[in-house]
Amino acid sequence: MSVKTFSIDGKDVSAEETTTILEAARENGIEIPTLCHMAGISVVGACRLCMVEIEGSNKLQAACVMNVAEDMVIHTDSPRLREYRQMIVELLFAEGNHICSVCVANGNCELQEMARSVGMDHCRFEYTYPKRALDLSHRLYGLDHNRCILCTRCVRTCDEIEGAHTLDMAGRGLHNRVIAGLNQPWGQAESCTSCGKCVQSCPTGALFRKGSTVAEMNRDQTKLEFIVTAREKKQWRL
Amino acid sequence: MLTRIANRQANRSDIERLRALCDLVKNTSLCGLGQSAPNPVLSTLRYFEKEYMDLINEDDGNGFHPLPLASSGDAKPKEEAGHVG
Repeated sequence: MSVKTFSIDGKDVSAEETTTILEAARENGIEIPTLCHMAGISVVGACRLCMVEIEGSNKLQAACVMNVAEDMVIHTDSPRLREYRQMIVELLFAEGNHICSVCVANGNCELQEMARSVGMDHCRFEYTYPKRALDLSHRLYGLDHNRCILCTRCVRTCDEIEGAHTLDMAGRGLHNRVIAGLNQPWGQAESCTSCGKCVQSCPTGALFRKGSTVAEMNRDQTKLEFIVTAREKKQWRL
Repeated sequence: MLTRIANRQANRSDIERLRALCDLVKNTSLCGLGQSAPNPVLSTLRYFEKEYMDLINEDDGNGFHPLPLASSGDAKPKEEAGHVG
């Protein structure tokens, strides 16, 4: 295994030849934004947010799949890349139904954080408001296609870490979506082990644990009633 | 976006946005389809720019539409709805 020497944003660094640009950058404290990459699972280069400029080439390269090479001169941040990244995030928002205020992941969402970090203050593109389904057939978890950004992290996690491969992608273009089992309701997919790793891998609120949504927040006011009756009528049992 | 332009509802900024979108898709796509799909739009923008400009509203994107062309079509159903209500 040989070591390659190259530069990232003017900083001379070296890494083994099997390292990707993204890994090399992170090791050296340079953060490249990404939504579809997750340590521990394979890479797909789907979100296109980690695009970097390499001197001597017109084409942008996805840092998560491109391996480092000798004398490579990499730029991870430029006005052009910033513009592209902001536009990509805007298109993600325009493509789905991302309503932060009613989302389980609000304040804890990688898409929301990404929008903030790329400086998105509005969406230049018209929202498409697609009609997408909600799958609540699983005993423990829910899948809301409205919030899915199709990063396929859950699919790779289910296949590579859990080994179940219950989740997969179906459809093309606008009809692309995550499916469970043989395109069944998730609760009927027998291969699912209910491990919940997919929920952990989801960058948004598309996969969530049941009971954590805003609509499911129940308040138990009988407790208050109990205290009042207990004080007034000295009645300490329900 | 193209529908808006064809319906004379677009302004200059829409053309620029369309161009920017094509540029983005062309340069950041993974596969050859994405890299070439914006080409028809870009080439019509290059060779038929006058036709595009004839279709847009000359209001420089400040929200004021001096031409009643686009709104007249939209206004009719609204009036009818008002009569029903």
